[in-house]
Amino acid sequence: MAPFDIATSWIVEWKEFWMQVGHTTRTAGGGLVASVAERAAVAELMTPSESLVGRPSRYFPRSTVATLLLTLLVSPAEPDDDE
Amino acid sequence: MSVVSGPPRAVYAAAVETLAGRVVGALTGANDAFRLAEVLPPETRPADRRAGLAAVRVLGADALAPFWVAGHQFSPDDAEVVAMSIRTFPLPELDSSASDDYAAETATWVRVLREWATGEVLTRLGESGYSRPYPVRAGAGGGRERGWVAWAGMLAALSPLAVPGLDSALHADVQCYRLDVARGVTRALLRRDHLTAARLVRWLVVCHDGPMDPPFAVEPVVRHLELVAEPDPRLRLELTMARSGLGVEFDD
Repeated sequence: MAPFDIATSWIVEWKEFWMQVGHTTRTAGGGLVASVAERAAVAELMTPSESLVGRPSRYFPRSTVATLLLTLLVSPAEPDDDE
Repeated sequence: MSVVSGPPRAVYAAAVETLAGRVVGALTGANDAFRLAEVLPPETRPADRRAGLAAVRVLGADALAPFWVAGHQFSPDDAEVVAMSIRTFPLPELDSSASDDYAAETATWVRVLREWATGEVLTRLGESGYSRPYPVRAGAGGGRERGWVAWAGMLAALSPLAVPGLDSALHADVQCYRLDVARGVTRALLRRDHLTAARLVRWLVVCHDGPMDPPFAVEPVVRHLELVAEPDPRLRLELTMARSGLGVEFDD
């Protein structure tokens, strides 16, 4: 196994270890309490991903804007025959 | 429960979607034997167990809907799963002083009220020791000082409270200000924020005085949302709960 692969697998193993064990704390009763990051993730999932207050991500989708711009660039308005 | 690897939010989001799909199956009759304990299969890694518990915590009272709404058998094992989820993901310490950070204060309100709802549902399922007092600060008019947009946003986060049988000062507020909830539904639909729209529709369905009471017909809104809901189990769960409130037969 190449040194780079060994280093990569070592990092992955340690990351896995910390995600499973290292970030939890044990209560006086013996139960495991999730880490701060895990509890924050749960709190975040309890609230809607989008609120009514913030800027909507789907109001003007990028694809719509890109299509509109392309349409304007590729087919500019024809001048009137009368002019 | 199948669990993906990655940061906690992604892992937990996948677990929530899996559990939401199971709850929908139990509510629509597709899953005859729903057991909450299935989120903790034996011989799973601690990280996978925490993901399952996080899913129960995130769905809150909605995770209990198959027992509460559809009449599935609630067992002590199911109660233990809820208790474990509460122990593993406890409520943050509450700051009694008024905070200037509106978002943080709203998030705390949301968590406390959802905790209250879970306790109420567990109590009605026959489990003692989970009942919590209704938060005083969430009394009549609570959260409305920032206007209807912010209030409707808070209501969307509190959709697990919008089930038949639960009653609180918030439910009374929704009855008083149904037009604001309807505005929220309209605004969310215009922004293609289907999840928020479905969550607010649940409130309109639950808090009404008569069949023609909501400011607009709710059923076509639910039908429209169902057309776009297929890939999202959480959206399907919200709509299934709304349907159960409407008293309409499920299609499948």
